[in-house]
Amino acid sequence: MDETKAKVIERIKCIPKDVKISIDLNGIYSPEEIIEHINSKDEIGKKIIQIESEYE
Amino acid sequence: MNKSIIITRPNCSQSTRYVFYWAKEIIDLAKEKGIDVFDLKVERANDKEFLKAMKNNPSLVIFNGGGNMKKVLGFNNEVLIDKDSICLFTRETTRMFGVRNNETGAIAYVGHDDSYVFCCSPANNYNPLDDKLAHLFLDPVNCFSHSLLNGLTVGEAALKVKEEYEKNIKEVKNNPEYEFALPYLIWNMNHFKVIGDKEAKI
Repeated sequence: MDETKAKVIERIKCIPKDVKISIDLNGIYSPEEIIEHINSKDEIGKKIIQIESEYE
Repeated sequence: MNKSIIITRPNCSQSTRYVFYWAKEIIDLAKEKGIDVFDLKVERANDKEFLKAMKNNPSLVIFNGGGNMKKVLGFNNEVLIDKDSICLFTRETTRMFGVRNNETGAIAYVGHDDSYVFCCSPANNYNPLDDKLAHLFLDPVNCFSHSLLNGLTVGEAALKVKEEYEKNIKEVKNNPEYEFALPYLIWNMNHFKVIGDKEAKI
């Protein structure tokens, strides 16, 4: 899991800083905020890991 | 009774601001087709107005507010539909669209059976409609309503959505600037689902 998380964080770091990601029209997050959510292991972070992992 | 549709577009956050603008095209098209539009925008995207509009037996309901798999939200996150709602368009597994043919009774629920995600670049685009990145995500969803209003069945409209996603995925694969968007576009395409009668049309 830690390896997956690290890979996803590396991918998120490649997203331009001016890009934002909206999830379910509930919130909109910068790449930096997404990384914070991943590190917090909250629902938003888990969803981003799931999406990025399915792609791989 | 004339055909009618309901569109909620609360515009109460940065993300709902985007879909607020995208829904305008659908409203204009519906009006062009002589369809009555209940445009529940901003404060009007509330429970009272929604239930009042539902009494007109709409053929199509489009939700542009936040939510999750169990509830659909309106302005300032007021719950419009949840598991306890007595509403024809309640369905726990998908969200965003309800389609009903008032002549045949055919019903379909269409939307994403998991989180709907979109990428955008608001800092560079005062008007969301100028945001090329957002177009890649939001145009396929608009394509569904557009196709229905042009007379296609739910099944045919859903195929158009898939084609639109595939076109955008191909575009992103050929554009290194947007490569990061690929997992999210593929995710949205794979989770776009129809439940109910694919022959339903408005």
